[in-house]
Amino acid sequence: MKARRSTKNVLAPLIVLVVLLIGLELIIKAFNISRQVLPAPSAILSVCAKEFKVNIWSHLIVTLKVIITGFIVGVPIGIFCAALLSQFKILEKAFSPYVIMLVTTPFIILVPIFMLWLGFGLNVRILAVILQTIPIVMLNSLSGFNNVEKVKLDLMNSLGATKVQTFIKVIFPNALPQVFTGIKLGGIFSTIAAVSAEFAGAQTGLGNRIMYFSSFIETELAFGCILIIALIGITLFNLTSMVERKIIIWKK
Amino acid sequence: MTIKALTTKNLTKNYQSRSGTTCALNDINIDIDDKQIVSIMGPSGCGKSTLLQILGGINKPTSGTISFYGHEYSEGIPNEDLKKIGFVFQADNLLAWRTVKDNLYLPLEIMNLRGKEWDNRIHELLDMVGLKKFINAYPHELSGGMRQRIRLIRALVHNPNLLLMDQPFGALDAITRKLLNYEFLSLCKKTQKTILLVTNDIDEALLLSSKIYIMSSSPGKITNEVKYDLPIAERNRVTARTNKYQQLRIELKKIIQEEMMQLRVS
Ligand SMILES: Nc1ncnc2c1ncn2[C@@H]1O[C@H](COP(=O)(O)OP(=O)(O)OP(=O)(O)O)[C@@H](O)[C@H]1O
Ligand SMILES: [Mg+2]
Repeated sequence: MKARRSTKNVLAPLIVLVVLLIGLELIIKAFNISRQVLPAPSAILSVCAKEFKVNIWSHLIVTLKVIITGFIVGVPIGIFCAALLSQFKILEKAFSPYVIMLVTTPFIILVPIFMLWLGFGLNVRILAVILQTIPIVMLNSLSGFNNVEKVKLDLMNSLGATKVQTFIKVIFPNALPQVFTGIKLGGIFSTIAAVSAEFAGAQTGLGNRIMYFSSFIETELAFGCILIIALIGITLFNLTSMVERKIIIWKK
Repeated sequence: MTIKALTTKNLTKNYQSRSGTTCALNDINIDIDDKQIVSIMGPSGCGKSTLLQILGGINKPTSGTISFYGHEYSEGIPNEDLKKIGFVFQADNLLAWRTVKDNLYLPLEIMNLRGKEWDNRIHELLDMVGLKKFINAYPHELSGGMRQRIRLIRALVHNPNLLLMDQPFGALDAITRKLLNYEFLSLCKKTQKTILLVTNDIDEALLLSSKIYIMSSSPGKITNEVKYDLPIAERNRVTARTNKYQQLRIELKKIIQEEMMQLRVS
């Protein structure tokens, strides 16, 4: 039963993808759309496959490194900050407006400033990813940490539990679904932040390649890079969902 | 004279809220002997949960004192003494992410009680309520009555002297409730705990307790007290058919009806 459902989950979107690609291919062929406007899926596939090793692979690695590093550093910091804020109301009052500000700030506009301070290396991009990931993870985790039913806290008080025990044994596990929502969004925000930072100024990475290929009217390669970035985001999201399903087995 | 398990002196609780001050409890004086089972009855909102929460260390009194086995406290019962108290809540608060077994271990973890004796105790208790098979189940895999039993024995795992129970059978259907009442009666005979039971069911109160306090609301106070001194060991399924029981039942009904009249008048 379970196995069948998961194959259905994979198969259904795949069928949509295939239908979409075939449709796109047919439309492009039928209306004779120029490859400079919109390259055919088949062309994107074949050109990218040919150029992958030389022109894409190294940049993919760079972008992945930025996303993963930023994500891995940003997520625990976000959860930790949310934990602190939830347990000390004064901190929450003091900081929550700024957290929301950070969520809504597109970091691409700050990247040029960071570059003045940190140069053009990977560190700037990693910093951008971290700074974009923390607040979204924080915001979701915080709402989880703040939404514990009173009867569960009463239980801990009736047992004479300390604040730390209450957090570890009730507040944190109780909030795991929201924490995971935060982590999943964090993955998406990490991907967006990394590519934006590469747009804003970088010599490497997939974001930079999109600009580079476009300027040489290599539309197939540019679109190929866009698709790869989308794939990275989806993969990160699905990996997190997989971990979530492994951990949150009590919700069905 | 032997030491009382629990007494309260002029226990009062005011809640501050935006709409002003609510006096939830006003000068509550109750006393419970060691190994005695006492019930509290009263209309919804009269402060029964508030009283139990104060006695169980969840809430602090505004004024008044509690003595617990001879120690008098004015700020509520301290953590060290909470180890001698078990609390059964009105709402279902099993932890969904823990199996039955891990839910039962929670009090032991908090109170730092470890060892073979405690493991055995958990198995014994599960056996007593007939749920040994479900030791590794998650709460959502159990029926309401089963969850109720688990919450009951969770309050007993650390072997407390006093059990505070807030309408423990309130959310169950009539048949399951009766069943659990008798089950609980035999559990009481075995474990011999001091118990303070909040209930809205006259038969439940009469079956289990040797003293019943009646409360009225706004402000919550004790208005009546009914005693039924049949020892717990002599109570069983036919107790309800005895004359004494029926007589007390009528008396209790009358008191509660009068109280409802007053509610309507005020
Ligand atoms: N945290 C709180 N803040 C303000 N008022 C409260 C709070 N908790 C309870 N009250 C008020 O105190 C009164 C007593 O509430 P309590 O929950 O003790 O009643 P109860 O007798 O347990 O009722 P029920 O039988 O419905 O469970 C009510 O008027 C309620 O509105
Ligand atoms: Mg109540």
